[in-house]
Order: sequence, then C-alpha cells, then structure tokens
Amino acid sequence: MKSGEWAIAAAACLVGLLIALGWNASAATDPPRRPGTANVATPEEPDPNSELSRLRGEVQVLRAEKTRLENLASRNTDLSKELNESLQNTKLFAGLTEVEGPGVTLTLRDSKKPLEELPSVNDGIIHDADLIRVINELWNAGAEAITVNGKRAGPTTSYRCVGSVIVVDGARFAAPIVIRAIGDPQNLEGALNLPGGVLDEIRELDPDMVELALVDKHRFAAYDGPTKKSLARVPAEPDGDQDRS
Amino acid sequence: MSPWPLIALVVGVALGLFLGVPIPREWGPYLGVMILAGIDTVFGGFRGQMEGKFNPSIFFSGLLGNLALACGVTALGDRVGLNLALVVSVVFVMRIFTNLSLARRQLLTDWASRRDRARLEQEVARRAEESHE
Repeated sequence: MKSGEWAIAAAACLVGLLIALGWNASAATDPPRRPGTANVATPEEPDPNSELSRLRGEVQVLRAEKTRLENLASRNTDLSKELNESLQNTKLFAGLTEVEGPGVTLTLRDSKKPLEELPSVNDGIIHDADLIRVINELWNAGAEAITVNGKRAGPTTSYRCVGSVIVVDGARFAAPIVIRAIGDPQNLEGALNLPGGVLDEIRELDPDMVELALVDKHRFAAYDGPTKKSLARVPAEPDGDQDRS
Repeated sequence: MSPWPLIALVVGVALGLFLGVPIPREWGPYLGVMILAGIDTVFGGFRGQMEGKFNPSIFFSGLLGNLALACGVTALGDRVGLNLALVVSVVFVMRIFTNLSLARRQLLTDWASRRDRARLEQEVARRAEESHE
C-alpha cells in the first residue's frame, strides 16, 4: 500500500457505510398517519332481503300490539298500565330515563409527551373529531346508552370543538374526556380496539392518551337537553307519499 | 491506482447492510450530505495523491471538517425552515465533478508524458547502437 492510501481507503469505507445506512433509511416505510382509517374500508350495505323480512316481522309485531291495545281499550281496565309501559320503552330509547347496565369506560386525555416528540402540536390533543368517531364506533358496536363526562347523549346531541374546549349540548368539557357506554362490554371493547381504528390511531401517537376499561355496571342520568320540536310534526293521517330517503 | 479504496468501499457497504441499523427517515438529508462530503473528500484525496501533495493529517481533518460542516449547515436549515441540505449537496457535487475532471487531466497527462519518455529513451538507445556500429 502506498503512503496515504490507507487513509483514502478508510474514508471510502466510511462512505460505503453511510451509503448502506442511507439505503436502509429510505427502505424503511413510515406508518400511516391519522386520517387513514380502517372504518372507511368496510362498506356494509344492508342486505335488502333480510331488511325486508325484518320489517315484515316488525309489521307483524306492531299489528299484534295494535290488536292487544284495541282489546285493552275495549276493557279499559289495564289500558293505562300498558300505555305507561309503552311510554317508558319509548323514553328509554330516547334517553329520557335513567339507565343502568354493563359496558365500558373510555378516557381520552391530551398527550403529555414533549412537543418535539409529536409530528405536530395538534396531534397531541383530543379533538371533537376523535370524540365523534369514538361515539360513532360505540353506537355501531351496539352501545345502548352513552354519556360524555357524565352528560347523557340524546337523539340530537352534538359534539363541537370551540376554542380549547369540546362542547356537548352546550356544556363545555376540556380533556380528559370520559366516555361511558352501556352495551356488550366485549363487543364495545373489540370495536374500539379495531386495528387501524380510531383508538389505534391515537395510541400510535401516544399510548397514554387512551385508557379503556370494562365495567360491570354503569348508571347514567337521563338526557337533560331540550326535547321541543318547532318544525317537525307527527302527521295526523298516515299517507302513501312518505319520505323514504 | 490501487484497488484498496474500492475494496474498502465494498467492505463499508457490506458492513452497513450487515449491521442494518434502522435510521429514522428524518435523518435522510443528514446522511445524504455526509455521503457527498465523504465522496468529495475521497476524490480530493486521489487528486492530492496524483499531484504529489497528499498529507494524511490534512486529509482526515478535511474529512471530519466537511462532515461536521455539512451536518451543521443542514441542521441550521432544518431550524430555520430552509432546505440547506440541497445547497450543501449542490456544492459537494460540484466539487466532486471538479476533482474528478482534474484527476482525469492529471492521469492523462502523466500517461502521455510517460509514453513520450519511453519513445525518447528508445530513440536514444537506437542512436547509441547506430553510433557503435
């Protein structure tokens, strides 16, 4: 080896090493970021045939119910009791009664990671979009009642980001947001933990932002928002020209 | 020219692939400017050797200085949101081309002068033989 050639050889070795490392770096793939979601990839059209047979079954049940009520009306003794039961069922569906049952508790909190470790400041914060997607996922998984920080979700409940807080039916909440749901706990947990699903995306940024627990018994207060409708009315006469959209 | 630098390059690549250290994607620009700085220094070393003024301490200080400066400028660019890695790359690639062309010139000139000298020596030897006869 001529004088100094060992020096050039050493430098060339270093260059080779760097090239190999750079090659590896460009071969590494970035994990998908937030907007990608597995939920989009599972379109599920209801089967028209099974939907039709379900509706037919419901017609049968309603006709039988009508007959029973007519019979009761003719006797008038048990009518008020039956009406009350029917009313209670309707109120339960609308979230106007207290409810209790098993389910899950999900806590979403802002990331405590230093800002430098997050792709952007926004990613470390729980947004209304996260809340909306979690609640949508819960309803989809068969949740029967939901509260957000103790506030019961009713049929018209909305979730909005206003400044630094999330507004749920006029009440303001900052993180941590606690979402409780009544439903089959295993189903709810499975749906929330869907790979690539809503929680997965948040956990990818910071696992500490999400805390999910199964609960044997929840007890929720009733929906306390407004129930008055000013424009929607129940038609006096059912007709054939109903809005089917 | 000896094959040692080329062998060392292959050894380096093999070593890097063997180690397989995962490098975050954000480090890509730094690796890029470091590779270019290294290549530039190696070609600069070739050129110095050919011109007969190669000095290992100058060579190594140049290598380390170039690497540090390239990374520093790139980091500054990251900091102020300006793509200084690109600027550094342009400069190094220009220098690599300059060094290559100068090395090529030197190599060809050396070769031509060696050929001329060999012809002249042959001529001298032939004439000496002639004068003997």
